[in-house]
Amino acid sequence: MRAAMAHRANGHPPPAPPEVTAAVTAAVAEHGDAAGALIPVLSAVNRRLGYLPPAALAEVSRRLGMPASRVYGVARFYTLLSTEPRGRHLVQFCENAPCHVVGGRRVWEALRQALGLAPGETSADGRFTLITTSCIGACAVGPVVVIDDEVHGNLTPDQVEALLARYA
Amino acid sequence: MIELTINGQAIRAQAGSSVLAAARANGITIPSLCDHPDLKPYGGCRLCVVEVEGARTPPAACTLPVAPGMVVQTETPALAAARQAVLELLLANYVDGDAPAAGPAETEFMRWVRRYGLAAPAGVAPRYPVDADPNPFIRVDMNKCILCLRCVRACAEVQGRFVWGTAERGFDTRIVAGADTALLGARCESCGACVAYCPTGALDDKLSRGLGAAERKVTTTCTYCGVGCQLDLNVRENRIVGVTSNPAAPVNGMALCVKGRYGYDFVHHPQRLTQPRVRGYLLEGDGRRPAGGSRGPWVETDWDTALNLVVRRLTAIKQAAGPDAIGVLASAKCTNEENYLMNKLARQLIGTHNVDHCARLCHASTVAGLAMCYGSGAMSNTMADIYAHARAIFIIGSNTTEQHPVFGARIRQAVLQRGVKLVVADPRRIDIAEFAAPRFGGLHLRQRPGADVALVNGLMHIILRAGWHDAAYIQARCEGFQDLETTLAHYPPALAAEITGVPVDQLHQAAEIIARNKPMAVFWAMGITQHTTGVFNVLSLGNLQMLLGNMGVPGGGVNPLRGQNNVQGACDMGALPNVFPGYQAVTDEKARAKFAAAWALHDGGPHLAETPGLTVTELIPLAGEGQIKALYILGEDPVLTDPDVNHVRRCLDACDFIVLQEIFPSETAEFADVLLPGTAFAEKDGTFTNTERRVQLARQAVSPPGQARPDWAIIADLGRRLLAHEGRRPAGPQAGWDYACPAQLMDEIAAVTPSYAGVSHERLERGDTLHWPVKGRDHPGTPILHIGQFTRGLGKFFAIDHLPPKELPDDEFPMVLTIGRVIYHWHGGEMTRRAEGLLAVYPETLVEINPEDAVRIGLNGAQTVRVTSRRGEMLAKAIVTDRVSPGLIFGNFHFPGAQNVNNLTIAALDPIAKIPEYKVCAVRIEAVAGDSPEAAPGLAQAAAPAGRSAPGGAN
Amino acid sequence: MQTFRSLVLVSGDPRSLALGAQAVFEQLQSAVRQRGLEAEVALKLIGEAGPTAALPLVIIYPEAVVYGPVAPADAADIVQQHLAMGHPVERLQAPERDLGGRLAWLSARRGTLPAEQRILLARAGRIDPESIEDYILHDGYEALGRALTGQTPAEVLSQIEASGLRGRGGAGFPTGRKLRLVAQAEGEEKYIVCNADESEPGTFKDRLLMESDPHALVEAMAIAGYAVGAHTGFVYIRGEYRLAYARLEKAIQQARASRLLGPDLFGTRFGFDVHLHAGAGAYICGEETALLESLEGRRGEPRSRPPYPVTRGLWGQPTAVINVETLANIPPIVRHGAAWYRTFGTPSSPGTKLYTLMGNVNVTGLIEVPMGITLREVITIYARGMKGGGHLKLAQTGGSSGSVIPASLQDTPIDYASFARLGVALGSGALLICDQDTCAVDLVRVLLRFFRHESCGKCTPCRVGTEQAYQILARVAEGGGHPDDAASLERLAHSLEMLSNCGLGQTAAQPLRDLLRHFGAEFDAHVKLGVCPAGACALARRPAVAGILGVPISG
Ligand SMILES: Nc1nc2c(c(=O)[nH]1)N[C@H]1C(S)=C(S)[C@@H](COP(=O)(O)OP(=O)(O)OC[C@H]3O[C@@H](n4cnc5c(=O)[nH]c(N)nc54)[C@H](O)[C@@H]3O)O[C@H]1N2
Ligand SMILES: Nc1nc2c(c(=O)[nH]1)N[C@H]1C(S)=C(S)[C@@H](COP(=O)(O)OP(=O)(O)OC[C@H]3O[C@@H](n4cnc5c(=O)[nH]c(N)nc54)[C@H](O)[C@@H]3O)O[C@H]1N2
Ligand SMILES: Cc1cc2nc3c(=O)[nH]c(=O)nc-3n(C[C@H](O)[C@H](O)[C@H](O)COP(=O)(O)O)c2cc1C
Ligand code: SF4
Ligand code: SF4
Ligand code: SF4
Ligand code: SF4
Ligand code: SF4
Ligand code: FES
Ligand code: FES
Ligand SMILES: [Mo]
Repeated sequence: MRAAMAHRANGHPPPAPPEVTAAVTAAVAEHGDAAGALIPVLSAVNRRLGYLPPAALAEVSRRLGMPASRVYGVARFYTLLSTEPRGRHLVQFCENAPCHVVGGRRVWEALRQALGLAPGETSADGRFTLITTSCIGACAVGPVVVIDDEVHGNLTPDQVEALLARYA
Repeated sequence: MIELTINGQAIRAQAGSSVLAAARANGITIPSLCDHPDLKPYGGCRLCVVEVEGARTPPAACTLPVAPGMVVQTETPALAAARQAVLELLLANYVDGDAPAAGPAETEFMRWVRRYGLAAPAGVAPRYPVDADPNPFIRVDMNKCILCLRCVRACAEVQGRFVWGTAERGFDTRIVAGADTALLGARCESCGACVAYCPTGALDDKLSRGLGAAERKVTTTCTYCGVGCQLDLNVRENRIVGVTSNPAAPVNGMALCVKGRYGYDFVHHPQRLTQPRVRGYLLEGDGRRPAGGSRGPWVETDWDTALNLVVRRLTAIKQAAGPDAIGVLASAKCTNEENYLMNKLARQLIGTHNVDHCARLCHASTVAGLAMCYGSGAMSNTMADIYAHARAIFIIGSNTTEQHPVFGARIRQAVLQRGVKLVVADPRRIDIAEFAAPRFGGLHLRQRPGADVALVNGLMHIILRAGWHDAAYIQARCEGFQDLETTLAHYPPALAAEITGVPVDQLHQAAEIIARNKPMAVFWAMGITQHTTGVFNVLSLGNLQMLLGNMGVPGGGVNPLRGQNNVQGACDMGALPNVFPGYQAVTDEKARAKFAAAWALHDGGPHLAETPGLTVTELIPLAGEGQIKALYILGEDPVLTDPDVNHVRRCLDACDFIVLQEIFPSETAEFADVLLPGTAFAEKDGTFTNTERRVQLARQAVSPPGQARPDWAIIADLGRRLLAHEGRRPAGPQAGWDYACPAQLMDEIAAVTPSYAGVSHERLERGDTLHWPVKGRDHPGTPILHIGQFTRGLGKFFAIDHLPPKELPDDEFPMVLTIGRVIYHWHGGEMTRRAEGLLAVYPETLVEINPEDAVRIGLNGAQTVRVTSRRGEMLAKAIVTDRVSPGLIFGNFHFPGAQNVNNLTIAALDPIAKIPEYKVCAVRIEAVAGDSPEAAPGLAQAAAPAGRSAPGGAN
Repeated sequence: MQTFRSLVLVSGDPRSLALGAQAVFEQLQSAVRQRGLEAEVALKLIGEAGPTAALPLVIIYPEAVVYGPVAPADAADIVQQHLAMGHPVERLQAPERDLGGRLAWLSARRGTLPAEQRILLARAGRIDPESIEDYILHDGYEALGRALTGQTPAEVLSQIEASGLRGRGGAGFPTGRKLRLVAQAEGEEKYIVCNADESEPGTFKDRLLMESDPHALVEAMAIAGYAVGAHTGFVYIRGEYRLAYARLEKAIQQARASRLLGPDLFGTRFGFDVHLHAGAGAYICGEETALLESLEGRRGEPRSRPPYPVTRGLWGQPTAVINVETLANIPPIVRHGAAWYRTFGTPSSPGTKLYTLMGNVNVTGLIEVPMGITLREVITIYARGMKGGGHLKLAQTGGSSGSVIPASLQDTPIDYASFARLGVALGSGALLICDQDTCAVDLVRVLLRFFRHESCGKCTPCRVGTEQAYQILARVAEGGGHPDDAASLERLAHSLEMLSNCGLGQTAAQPLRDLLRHFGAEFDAHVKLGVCPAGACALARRPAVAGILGVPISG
C-alpha cells in the first residue's frame, strides 16, 4: 500500500543531512529566500556539495516556499546544475563551431579515449566526469577544455594525457 | 472594447483578450492545443498560428492580444500547411500503445490530427514507460504527451497544488511530478484536474480503462460535500464507466475533488442493497423480537411485505405510545424532495415534530446562532462572489482543502492570483495554512481547541482599540453594541493569548490583516460548531462581521461551509424538529395553521404540536431509556457517526423497532429491523441545495440495482399505505401522496415554502442558477443575503464570554483529542470504503500525534497506538507529525470498530443547539507493542520525499 | 596618491590565465620584492590587453614595451634587466606581427598599424579593473555626474536617441527608442537589466568589457536608469563568467562605498543600485524574456510577445533589457555628445563595434572598429591573414544565430543595413573564419547540435524541429543521406523560421538555409556521392558506409 504510505509520511519528511542543511542555509543567507533567488541558491548549493541531492532540493523547496516541481524543473534546466553526483573533477569539452573548426573533434576523440568515458559518465574511481559544454567564450584559443574552473586553450590531442594527469 | 477583423468579419473584443479568445467568443474556431479558456495562455504548441496583416511570421493566436484595427486570417492554405507541419512534428514521437483497443472517445489531439488528414506514424519506439505511476486513479503514459503543459497549468491554476512540472529542456523536455517522484509523493490530491485538461490521454483515468467509451453523459450533482460540484457521469451499458468534468458546471467548472471524480464506484458495489430485508422474527409467530442481543437473521422479502410491516408496526406504536414515541431521521445525502417527504411523513401522517438529521451533529449551532443575530442561518455569500471581491479571508475551524476541496482550491487561487490575504485559525497546521503564510501577507493562528470565543473576542478587542471597526455601519444596521463593547473590554490581548495559546503579536497581526483588508469573508465549519459553546462561537463570528461592516456586501459575509451535499436542503425542507420547510417555526401559530391547511386530511388532521420535537442527540439517548420506541432512519449511520457510539449502540439496541432506508448494509443495519433498499444519487432525479443555497439538479444516470427504489418513491409509497391503513384521505391542496416524479414534488415544495417559491425543475433544466430565497417564478434568486438590512431587521450583537470545553485533560487523561475528517473518506465511510481507489490511498485510520508526544510515549514510526477516554478506546496507526501541537491528537471516524474515534467522543451538548462537543475530549495515549508490518521505514521516504512540509506556494 | 617609476601590467583575461598569467604575475611580484623595487614599480594583473597570439602579455610603461608570450621563468630576466637595469629584454618582446593593431594608443604611438578606434575599449588594458580610483582618473563617472547634475532625464534620453545607438546584443534595436518606451510605460517600478549572458558561440566581447572595465557598465546602467526613471538594475551574467562576476561585484561594492551607487547620487534625489545575478548554464537565457524568467527564478523559457519587456518585463514591470556592449556606449555618448558619436561608423549604424575574431586565421581575439568595415579588411588587417596560407572558404557571422556566408560576400560592409539587405545576420559580432578544410555540412551539423542542445523545449517547431534537422545532418555526415533530405531540411527550416516562439528557433533556420543556398553542391556531394569534399566528415574516411548511429558524434 504504497499510496497510503505516502500519505502517512507527508507530515514528516526525513530530515536533511547536516551538510545539506548547512549548504542551503549558507546559500539562503547569501542570496535570500525570494523566488528570484532560486537559481543563485541552487548554484551555490551545487558548488558546495558538488551536485544537488534530493534532500537539498527538498530543503531549498522548503526554505523558498516553492513547489518541488519548480525547484526540480529548474535544477534540470540549467547545465551548471546537476542532480547526479559528479566525479572529483568535471571535464567540460566545448563542442561549438569555433572550437570545432580549429581541431576540436580530434581533441574530443583524444579526451574520450584518455578518459574512457562517454559524455555524462563518471569514471569508476570517481575521479572524472566528462560532459560537453556550449561555448564558454574562450574561442580565440580553441579548442578549449574546462576542468573544474580552469580553462585550457589551444589544446592539441597529444597534450590531453598530460593535462589530465594534473588532476588527481 | 477593441475592434478588429477576423476572416473579414468585424469583431469587438475586450482589451487584453487574445485573438484566440476573441475568435472563440464569436464562434470562430482556431485550431489549438495548448490553449484552454480556463488556463493562462502558454503559446507552446503553435497550432493556433494565424496570419496578421503586417506581421512577418504568423503569430500564435492564443497569446496574441487583440489590437485596434488588427486584420486576422485564420484559415489560409499557408496556415493549413503550417498546422499540418506542427501536427506532424507532434506525431513524430507519439506512441499510443493502447490504440486501437476500444478506448475512450477520440481525444482533442487526435481530432485535430484527423482534421488535417494525418495519422499517428507506425513503428515509433516508445521513449517512456507506459503506465508509469502507481496512483490508483491516474494513468500516466508520457509517450502520448505533446508537452502542451495544460496539466502543469491545471495543477497550478485550478488546483493550486503545483505537482506537475517540466524537467530537462529541448527535445528531452518531459513532464514530471514533483522532483520526479510518484504523484502521491509529490503532494498530489488526485483531483484529476490534470487528467481533465490533458488533450491527448497521456494522463488518463485509470478506473475507466478497459470499460469502453461512454454511450452517454449525464450531468448531475456530486453526492459528497456541500460544495455542490456538477459533473458528468459517463454511462455505458447502464454502468458508470467514469466521471468527466462539465465545463459549464456553475460552481466548479472543470474542477472536482478526488471523491467527486473518482469516488463513484460504490454505486456498483456488490454489497448494494437490492431487495427489502426484514428480520425473520417479524414474519414469524407473534412477531416478538428474540430476547437478548441480536435481532436475528435477515430475510429478503418483497416491497409489499416490508412496507406493510412497517406501516403496521408504526401505527401500532403510535397508537400504544403516542406519535412522539416515534422519531424520524431524514438524510442530508438525499434530495430536497425526499427530505420534504420525510418531514411531511413525520408531521402530517405520524403526527410528530420528532424529525431531525445529521445537521444536528454539524451546523445546528450555526443555524441557531445566525438566526439569533441575523434572523437566518445560512452562508450569506457565494464562493464566486468571495473569489471576485474579497480582499481578505478568515478561515476558522474549517479544513477547507480537505473537506470542501474545490472551495479550498479556489481559496488558494484567490491568494495566488488575486493576492487575497488569508488568516487561518486552526489548532492544526492544515494544508490551507500554507497559504496563510507571511510570504502571502497572511497568518496561521494555532489556538487551543475550544478557545474560539476568547480568540475572536481578543481580535475584536484589538480592532476596537485601533478604531478599525465600522462605526457608521454599526450605528445604522445593528443593535446591542454597548453590551459587546463592555464584554470586549475584558479580553485584552494578553488574556486572549493566555486562553488561546496564540502569542500576542500574532493576535495583533491577524486583527490588522482581517480588519484592514475589506471586504473580508469568514469561513467556518466544524471547528467552530461542534462545541458545547457552538452557538456562542457562531455568535462571536456574527459579532465580528457586523463590527467590521462586512455583512450584506460582496466579498464579505458569514460563510459556514455546510457539510453534506444536501444538508442545506434537508434543513430547508423542514427536516428539523422546530421548523416546517423554509424555517417556518412550529411555534408560530400562523405557520401551523398554514401547514394544517395545506396538509389537511378529511378527518381534521393533521394535529401539529405547538412545541418543537426532539433532536437526533435526544432521540437516540431517549430510545435507550425506552421513551422513543421506533426510529425511521433514512441514509444515516449513527453507529459510526454519533458521539460516544458505545452508548449509541446500547440505545439502539434498546429501541423496539428501527427501520433503516439505506443503500448498503451499514454498521447501523445491525440494529435495524427492516432494511429498505434506497437508491444512490446516480439512480434518481431530484434537487440538492449546496452550501451557497444554490438549488441544483441531480439526474438519474443508471437504473437502481435489483428492486431498489428511489427514496422519494419509497417514502411516498409508505405514505400512501399509512393513509390507507388508517383510512385517512387527503383534503388540503398539498395533502396527497401520489407523486409522478420529483419535479411534481418540487412544485408542492414551492407552494408551501416561500424561499423556494420560484424553484422548479423546469427552471433548473433551463439553466437558471437559483440561490434561495427565490421568491417567485420570475425572481432571480439571492446570491448575497442581508443586503440593506438583516433578515431580522437590525443585526444583533451578543456579548459572549469564553467558556471552557466540557471535558478538559487531567492526570488520568492528559491529552486533548480533536477529530475530523480526511479528504479521501466520507464520515462512517460506508460509501468511500467501498470505492476501490479511495480505499487504496487511505486504507485505515491514522491518528496524528506530535513528535514530542511520540517520543514521550515511546512511539516508533508508524506504530499502532491505543487511545482511551472515559467512554471507550480505539486502536489505530499513528502518524507522527507537527500538524498537531504537543498535547493534541487528531483522529477520524471513517473506519468502523476499534478504529473509530467516536468510541471516545463525549456526548456533551450545546444547550441551545444540542450539537455534541465532538471537537474536544480528554484522552490517554499509549503505544501498542507488536508493530504492524507496514511500518517498514525506507518505503515512506521513497514515496514522499517532499512531503507536506514543502509548501505549494507561489509559482 | 603614490606615484611609481614603472607600471607593469600583466594580461589577466582567462585566455592569459589559462596560459599561466597568474604564475607570471606572482614571479614578477617576488622578483620585484627581492630586488626591493616595491616602492618604484607598480604591478597589476589586468583584463584583456588586446587580441594577440602572444599571451600572456607583460606591458611596461612608460616605455610601452610589450613582452609576450611570457613564461613564469622569464620574470626574473624582465625584472633584473628591464626594471633594474633599464634594458628591455629583446628576446621576450612580442613580435610586431603578433600584436596586430591592438592597443589603440600603443599602436598609434608606434605608428605601425591602422589604429582601432577605441571608444569602448578605451580603458581596457590601461587601468586596473579592480580600482575605482583608476576608473575615475580615466574619466569614469564623469558622464553620470554630468547627466544627473546638468541634464534632465528627457535630455539624456534625447541624446541617446540622437546618437543613433543600436543594440549590440544581436537584434540592432535602437536603444534610445527602447529607453523611451520604458520611460513612457506605466509601472510601479522600472528596471534596467543588463544582458550579460553572452553565450553565443564565438562571442566574448561582453566578457572582456566586464573584466577589463567593469565600472563602465555600472555607470552606464545608472545613466540609463536616470533616463527612464528606474532605480534598480540587474546584471544577468553568465554563470561561467566567474572572473567577470568577481570584478563586477567588486566594482559595485566600490561604487556603493563611494556613493556612486545608492540613494541620492551626486546630491540629487536620484538613487540607483545594481544587483548581480549569475545564470546557471543556458544559452536561451540570453533571449531577453527567457532572461527575465530566469531572473524570477524559473526555467528560461521565452515568453510570448507582445507584451514586450518595455511594458511588462521583470516582475511585470517596464524593463529595458540592454546588452553589455550597448550599455558601454552610453557614458561616452553622454560625455561627448551625439554628434561626436555619429562621426564613427555609418549613418545608419553609427559608432564602433566589437568583433571577436577566430577560426583559421593568424591572430584571434577582440577588436573594436567602426561599423561598415568589410570582412576582407578584418581578415587581412586585424587577423593577419589566413593561417598556414589557407584561403577563406566561408565565415560564420554573429555566432550560431548569425549566418554562414561564402567567401564571395567578403567585401560586403559589415553593418546592420547592408547585412540585412543580404539576409545575413550580424548578430553578436562574432566572426568565425574558416578555410578550405571546413565542411559546410559538418559545420551546420555542429550548429544544429548546438540549437538542439539549447532549445528550451517550449514550442513544437523548435523542440522537435532542431532535433529532426540535427538527426538528418548527422546521418548525411555519416553517409546515410536520402535524396529527399534537402527538401526535409527546407521544410524544417520553414517551420522553424515561421512558427517558432523565439529567436532561437527562428534563427536555427538560418544555417540550414545558408547550407542549402550557398553550399548546395557540397551537400549533394555528401548525399548523392557519399563523399565529403572538404574531408572533414566521417564519411570521407569511410565512404558509402551507413551511419554509425549510437556513437556520440562530438568535436
Ligand atoms: N472528505 C470529506 N469531506 C467532507 C466530509 C467528510 O466526511 N469527508 N464531511 C462533510 C461534512 S458533513 C462536514 S460537516 C464538513 C466538515 O468540514 P470541516 O469542519 O472542515 O472538517 P473537520 O475535519 O471536522 O474539522 C475542521 C477543522 O477544525 C479544526 N478544529 C478542531 N478543534 C477546533 C477548535 O476548537 N476550534 C477551531 N477553530 N478549529 C478546530 C480541526 O483541526 C480541523 O482542521 O466536511 C464535509 N466534507
Ligand atoms: N467524531 C466525529 N463524529 C462526527 C463528526 C465529527 O466531526 N466528528 N461530524 C458529524 C457530522 S458534521 C455529520 S454531518 C455526521 C454525518 O453522519 P451521517 O450522516 O450518519 O454519515 P454518513 O456516513 O454520511 O451517512 C450517510 C449514510 O447514507 C447512506 N446513503 C448515501 N446515499 C444515500 C441515498 O441516496 N439514499 C439512502 N437511503 N442512503 C444513502 C450511506 O450509505 C451512509 O451510510 O457525522 C457526525 N459525526
Ligand atoms: C536565442 C537568443 C539568444 C540571445 N542571447 C543574447 C545574449 O547572450 N546577449 C545579449 O545581449 N542578447 C542576446 N539576445 C538578444 C536579446 O534578446 C535582446 O535583444 C538584447 O539583449 C537586447 O539588448 P540590445 O538592444 O542592447 O541589443 C539573444 C536573443 C536570442 C533570440
Ligand atoms: S500552443 Fe500554440 S498552437 Fe497551441 S493553442 Fe497555444 S498558441 Fe495555439
Ligand atoms: S490529480 Fe490534481 S493534484 Fe494531482 S497532479 Fe493532477 S491536478 Fe495536481
Ligand atoms: S501530459 Fe497531457 S496535458 Fe500534460 S503536457 Fe502532456 S499532453 Fe499536455
Ligand atoms: S468538492 Fe465536494 S461536491 Fe465537489 S467533487 Fe468534491 S466532494 Fe463533490
Ligand atoms: S523557439 Fe526554441 S528556444 Fe525559443 S521558445 Fe521555442 S523551443 Fe524555446
Ligand atoms: S566555441 Fe569553444 S569556447 Fe567558444
Ligand atoms: S494554442 Fe496557441 S500555441 Fe498552443
Ligand atoms: Mo456535517
